[in-house]
Amino acid sequence: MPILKQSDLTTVLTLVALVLGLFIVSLVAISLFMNIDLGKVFYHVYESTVGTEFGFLSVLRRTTYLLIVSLGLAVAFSSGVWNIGGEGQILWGAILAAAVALLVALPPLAVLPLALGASFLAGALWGLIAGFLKAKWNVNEIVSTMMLNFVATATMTQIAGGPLRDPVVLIAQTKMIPEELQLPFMVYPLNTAFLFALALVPVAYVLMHKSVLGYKMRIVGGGSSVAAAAGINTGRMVMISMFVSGGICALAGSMLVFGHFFRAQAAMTGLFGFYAIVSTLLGKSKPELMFFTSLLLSFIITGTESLRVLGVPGSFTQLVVGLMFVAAVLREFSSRRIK
Amino acid sequence: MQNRDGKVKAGDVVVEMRKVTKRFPGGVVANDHVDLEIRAGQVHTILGENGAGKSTLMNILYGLYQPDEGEIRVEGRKVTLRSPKDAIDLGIGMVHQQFMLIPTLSVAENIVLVDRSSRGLLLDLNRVEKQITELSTKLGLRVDPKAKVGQLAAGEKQRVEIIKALYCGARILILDEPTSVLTPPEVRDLAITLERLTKEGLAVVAFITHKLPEVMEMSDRVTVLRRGRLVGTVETKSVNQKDLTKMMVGRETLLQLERLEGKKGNAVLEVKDLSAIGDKGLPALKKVSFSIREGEILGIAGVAGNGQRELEEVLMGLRKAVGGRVFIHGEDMTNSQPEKIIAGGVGYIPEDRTKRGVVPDASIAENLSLKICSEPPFAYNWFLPFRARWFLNEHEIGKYVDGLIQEYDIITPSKNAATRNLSGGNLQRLILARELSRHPALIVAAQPTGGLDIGATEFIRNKLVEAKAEGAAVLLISEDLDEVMSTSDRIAVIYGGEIVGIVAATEAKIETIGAMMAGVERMQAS
Amino acid sequence: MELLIPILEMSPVFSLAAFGQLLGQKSGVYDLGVEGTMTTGAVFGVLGAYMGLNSWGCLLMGALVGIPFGAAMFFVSEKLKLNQIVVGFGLWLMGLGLAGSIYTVLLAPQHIKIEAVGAVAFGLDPIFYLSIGLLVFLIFLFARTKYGLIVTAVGENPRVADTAGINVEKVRAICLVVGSALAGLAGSYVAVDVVQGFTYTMIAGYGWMAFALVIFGRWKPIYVFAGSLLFVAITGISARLEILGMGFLPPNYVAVLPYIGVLVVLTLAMIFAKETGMPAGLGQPYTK
Repeated sequence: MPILKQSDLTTVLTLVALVLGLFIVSLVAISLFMNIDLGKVFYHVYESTVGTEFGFLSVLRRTTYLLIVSLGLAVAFSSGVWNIGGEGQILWGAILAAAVALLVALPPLAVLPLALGASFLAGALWGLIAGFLKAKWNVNEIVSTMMLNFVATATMTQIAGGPLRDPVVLIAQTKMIPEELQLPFMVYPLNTAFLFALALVPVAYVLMHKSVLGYKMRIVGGGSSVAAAAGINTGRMVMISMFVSGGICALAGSMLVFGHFFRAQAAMTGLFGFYAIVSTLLGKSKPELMFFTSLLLSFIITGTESLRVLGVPGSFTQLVVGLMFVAAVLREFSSRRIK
Repeated sequence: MQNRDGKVKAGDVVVEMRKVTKRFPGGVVANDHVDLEIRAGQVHTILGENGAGKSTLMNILYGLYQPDEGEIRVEGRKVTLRSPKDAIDLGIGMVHQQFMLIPTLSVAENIVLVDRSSRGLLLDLNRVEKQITELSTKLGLRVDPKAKVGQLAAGEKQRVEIIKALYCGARILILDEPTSVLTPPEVRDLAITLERLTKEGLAVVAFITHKLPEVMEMSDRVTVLRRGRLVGTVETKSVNQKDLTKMMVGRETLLQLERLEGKKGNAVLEVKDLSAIGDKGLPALKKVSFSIREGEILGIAGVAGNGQRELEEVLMGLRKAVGGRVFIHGEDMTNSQPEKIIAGGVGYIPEDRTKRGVVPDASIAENLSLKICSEPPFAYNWFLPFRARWFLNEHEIGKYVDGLIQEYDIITPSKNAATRNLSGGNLQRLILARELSRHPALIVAAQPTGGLDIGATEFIRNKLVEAKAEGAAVLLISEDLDEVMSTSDRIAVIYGGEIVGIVAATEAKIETIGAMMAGVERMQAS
Repeated sequence: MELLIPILEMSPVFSLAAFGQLLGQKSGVYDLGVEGTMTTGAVFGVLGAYMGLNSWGCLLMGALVGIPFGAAMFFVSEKLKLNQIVVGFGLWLMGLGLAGSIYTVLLAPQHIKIEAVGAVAFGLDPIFYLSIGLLVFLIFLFARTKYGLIVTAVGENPRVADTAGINVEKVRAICLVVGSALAGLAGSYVAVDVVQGFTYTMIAGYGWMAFALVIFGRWKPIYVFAGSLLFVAITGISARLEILGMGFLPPNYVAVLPYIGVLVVLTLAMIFAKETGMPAGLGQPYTK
């Protein structure tokens, strides 16, 4: 069975065209609005993304985290569960990663897997709450996961400002994790977290397309009446789906701790939990496409961020990504697909 | 409710439909040059089996469909009804089977929504409530204007719908299968209501049904349709039920499929006094009992809406049984989870193919593997060193799927193509392939050939008969009487949620079956 | 107690936006972009001052900017029948981005003086009285007018409403636009009357709270209003608790009590209540 099908490629290419089109439109808009030379705008975007080695590596770096979260969300979305709780799950992963890193006195080779395991578990359980509520009482998962995001943020602020706090600074953030635990750089600024993310792709693919469990989850996502009539326990699938999804998103949090910030704080997610929804939707929740859609999104975000030197506000990024949601949704317009 | 100008007298023709023809894509002729005359002050019934064209004809009168040929006259004037609005303006009101009411609002509030006279800002619920009470007392339609619709029984909801139609000025009232949701006392109430309506203000009532006793009791004239054609219109008092049955069903010859005789063994499915509640809160199954043996097809004949869907669902564990027992191979499977029932060797061919039968977005291969996905050799351990059934063995699954596609003649460019593009016939072949290839001991097939062309229909019937010959017990629920009679070994007739008779196919006479389906006859328990 | 006035004073922030959401949800449409609308409303409030408008003008600016948001939401989810949730999210991010951008580019460098409208009676702002008026209006609307009934019908079962001759699209469009205008007004209220300025984190989650408030208040105006008072009290109270020495309750958690509250109430409703009050047609675009 070919991994990338013809029809997928065409759809993705159409989407890429759409996305880039919208991106260019917004660039033109900002240059007009702020009276910046359009050429300069394009130049900066180019230079910060594909024009220089550093730029391209930055794009890849950002892709790392987007990719992990996208994979996590893909698991949920393909089962028909809207996991909007990515932010919270990432934070939980970060909390546990920082906690293990700071508190467990073991050699790095032991700490790292332990931290990853704990992160995964924390995010998974957090996701499971919403999954359980949906399976048992049909509580709308959009509302529940969104609410849980806030609770997770509060928890992070609490812990980062409390037990694990870095006494030197005023803001609520944890101490820095020991140097030996910080992930080595491959080529600055890209670190080994990138490899970790890439490695997750085949894992997610195998889970979703090669395993019995993934198959069942996708069937549930395709129409729960069929699933029930075919004898699949839909409630259980929903819970498992949220469990796995939350866990994977949490791993992004741990990677952010070990690979980027080397500490944990509430504002570390960079809204990836939401941004990744775009890349997941653009990629139709297919793991094999996630890398490309995450890369695309990262390209756009990095390019937009680079415009700051020209005076463009950071908020502009949100505007652009918001526009990308439109693209993601227009895809649904053309082909009636489930979440 | 007003009379336009009092000119219309009882007996006057108020609606004329001449040579009305309606065709649907696929070659179906729902109404074939049908003539109809409805007179003021009378209850006029439209009688026929499934697919006779009753609802289509009335939907045309109500403006929901446009006829391809023919003309309609209301009070002598030729009219074109482009939408229900046109119909309502002409004084035609319709009470559908599916009530158009909002459950969280009260009766008065629901009626206010359609009340064209209250343009003002303020809700004058008092006035509306008073008017409702007036109407209801005048016509004997007991309705509490303040009650929340969601809490009303079906009979009351129906009365609300009638009042709603009258409120909009209906003088011609169409009721679609009104008794299908009513209990016997409610049916009697309806009869009284209709009497009053026809006496009072000359409202004319058209009535769609398949239940003969009601026709005899409530109507003044009857029009019988069969397969889209008009069989005849008669005065009720000049015919009896047998005459009507003959008109409704009247075929002399029947195609008999070659009967493969199966070796009949032990009882596979035993249903004892099974009872269940329908979606509307009314009993849908009332102490249904029957059994099916190995190598036998039991056909359930009946007009749609008499409990077939609920039976299908209860047997598959998709609906709760509130009484009675279901035994499969002697094991009590009442209210078990679908997983368990399926594991017990049951194949399911659902009536709603696209919603319950397949996952439209999944590939054909994925849909075909729905049942086998957890079992070896289709689930295996891949690279894991220990024995596990976690992964899909694509090679084995591919072989299996290819085999099925060939055997069941599923036409598709590839096994990985999306299922949503399959035609109805191919879709059903897929479902059949998936279910029958597992050689289940019991097959529950609900409307298996609904909406399919001849080729697919024959194929499916043959497959079911083959399965029977191999020893399966088959429950065939079908609204197509021909199908039931030609495919089954024994025929049970369901009417009003009850099994009113079971006969051997070889002894069954179509008039008898038809009569049972129409509620006229009832056999002693067999 | 002297806490009452500050609570009442802040309440329009939640209640105005929540009333707007209520209107939209009663007609059957989720407006997940409310946070973005509020933020943009806030920025436009300041923008008004930049343009030299008086306080009322600034407030109006906020309301006006809500209109295109509501229109966009309507168009994309009802006309194009696209996924309401995704569209809402998109609008939220876009709103945030737009607001932040406008602020940074146009307004931050300037020193803009905004004057609050000022207290009129009992030390309370006229906007507060507006919110009370709105409360009364909504209660009246849904209890006693045909329009309220129409909105309810459209939200419960658009098909039935359609057969009754109601223009479902028109009703939903009006509700969404008005709802978003209210959200925008709530935003500009924060900017003009409460804070007299704008910061990025001003509308921190208030929009989501307004959204949640509707569910929390079981889609009834009076409960939504009571809920908004409660939410104000809770969000404001965390600071005071520390001062009062009741620091055992982690302040961060007190701040998120509203969210936990929504979750609990919603769950309990799904478990027990047969009648949640939720419009049955919520979230589904209507296709004829």
